Amino acid sequence: MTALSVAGLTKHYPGTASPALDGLTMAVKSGSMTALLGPSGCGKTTAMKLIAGLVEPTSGDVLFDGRSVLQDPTEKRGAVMVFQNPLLFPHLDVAGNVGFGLRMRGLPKSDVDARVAELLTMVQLSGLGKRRPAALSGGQQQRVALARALIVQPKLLLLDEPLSSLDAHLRVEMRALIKSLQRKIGVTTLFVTHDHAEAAIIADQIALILDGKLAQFGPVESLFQRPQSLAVARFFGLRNAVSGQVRGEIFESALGSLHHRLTRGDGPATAILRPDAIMIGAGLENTLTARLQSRVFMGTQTQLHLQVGDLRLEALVPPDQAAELAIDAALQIHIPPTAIWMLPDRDERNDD
Amino acid sequence: MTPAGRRLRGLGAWGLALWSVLPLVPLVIWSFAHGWRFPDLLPAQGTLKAWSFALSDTSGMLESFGVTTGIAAATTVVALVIGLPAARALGMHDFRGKLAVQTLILMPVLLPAIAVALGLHGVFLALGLTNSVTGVVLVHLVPSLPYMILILSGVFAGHDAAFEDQARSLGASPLQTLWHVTLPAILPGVLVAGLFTFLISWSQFLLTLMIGGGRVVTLPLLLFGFATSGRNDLTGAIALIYILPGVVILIVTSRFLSGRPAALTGQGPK
Repeated sequence: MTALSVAGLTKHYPGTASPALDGLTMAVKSGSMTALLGPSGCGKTTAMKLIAGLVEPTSGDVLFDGRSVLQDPTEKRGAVMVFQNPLLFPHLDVAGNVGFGLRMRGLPKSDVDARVAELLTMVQLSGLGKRRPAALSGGQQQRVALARALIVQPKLLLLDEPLSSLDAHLRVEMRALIKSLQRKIGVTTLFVTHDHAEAAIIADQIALILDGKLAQFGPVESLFQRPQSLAVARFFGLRNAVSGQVRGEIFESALGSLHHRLTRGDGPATAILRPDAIMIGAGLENTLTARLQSRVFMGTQTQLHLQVGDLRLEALVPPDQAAELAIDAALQIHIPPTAIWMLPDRDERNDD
Repeated sequence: MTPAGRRLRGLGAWGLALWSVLPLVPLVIWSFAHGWRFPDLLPAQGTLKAWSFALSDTSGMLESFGVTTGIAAATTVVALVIGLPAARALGMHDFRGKLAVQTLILMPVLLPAIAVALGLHGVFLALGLTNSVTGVVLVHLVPSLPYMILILSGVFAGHDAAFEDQARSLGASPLQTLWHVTLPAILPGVLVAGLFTFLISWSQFLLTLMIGGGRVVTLPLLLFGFATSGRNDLTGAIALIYILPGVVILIVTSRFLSGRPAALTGQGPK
């Protein structure tokens, strides 16, 4: 069990205009599962490689349990990566792949064999030790890669989009396996992904990286419900951003006067209205009249495109409720005061 | 393919086989002939004299075979040591001046051997490397290194460095990574490149003659000696021995040449 912290971690590749990773600072508790979330090319894989020691930082520090590991070569750090491509060594069979790390540490064959059998059982592949990697399915290959990483009892498990090469149903299965193994073993884990839903499901906390910088770091709910900037809100698909003025408990905007329950000073503010917080029908407070422009059936929810005055709002409602609504008709909606979130003062720039 | 097309292809294959085997037929006959004069279609009598002389100590063939093998093996090892890192750089990285480096590496193949030999002879004389096996090995690198680097850079171009990152993060040292991950992945290509290098060294005549100064007698030199002295029977026998490694190597490598190396197809880059 190892606590990880990085301080001002920066990587600027020569010949590039801006750093791939710019001053990443965060601390992760021992035994926790943290998602490094961000669009592709945002620097999250670079962050992983810096922590694993596969890439040298331009500046900054990586600490395991408070001790800098920058001087330790990759093989001594004990931060094991699992990549999107399972990267099973093609000249070794499954057991040879899983036992690789222990053999490199010079363990006797009998010990290696026993541990390999144990790990293969753990990832539900017992009995497949003699198979060649090419004879396995994509999901099985990824489980072998996971077993090969866990067998060395890593201080840190670094998963770099390990699910993105899998089919949807396998992804769900594998995600559950990773989560249960991580809980059981208690290994501190970083999980790189570009999918915020996946990050929410698998992680205890999310570090959102945008353009090489840490945009927000915290428990999963806080990123969804209390984004600290417009960019974070946008990344989570929260497109209902409304600028206006705070006067005490009232938020004045193109939507009219809305009650809110936040403690903040008067002045300009940007409110974020989560689409799932917009309710159909009149409420006790914050009732608005809207016009339904279109709806998109999304399976368990239906997305509504609403026009309120000059503003467009997105709402997510149960499909049967949405089916009763007529396109182009006026309808009443309300927004519970507790569901209104405002971006902090320091981020007033609304680049629309 | 139509039956006619298939027949044409079969004919082509047989033609090609004949083309490569026919020139060897007179050599075989000569090596067993006891006097074979014009206008006889075949020699009057057969004998094993040429073979027994060729395989005896007095012909110098066995010693020469050993020298040639040793020089070709040494050339291959040195070419591998120089060629592997160079080919890795060329195959896996882009850098400024890469095209110029590639052209320079190919230069020795484009230049006539005699020009290279004359130029190097002076340098080797000054360095005291002439008339020695070391000198011959060094000069054999000139025509063989380009091929070695060319073949290996192709192998490395298909090699995914992520496998090495994976091995390092699992706890393998750089040396262990090279031995347990990189080498097995590129082994088929290394074998092919090594065998080619071996054959190129094996078939050198002019460079060996110039730098070895006649003191280092490899099989081509010995063969040339017998051929110019009119001993057709000995020339035939030694020529057949001389082509032996080529045939063996062809059989060994055809497995690797016929398709993509197995180690590279298992898990390619994404």
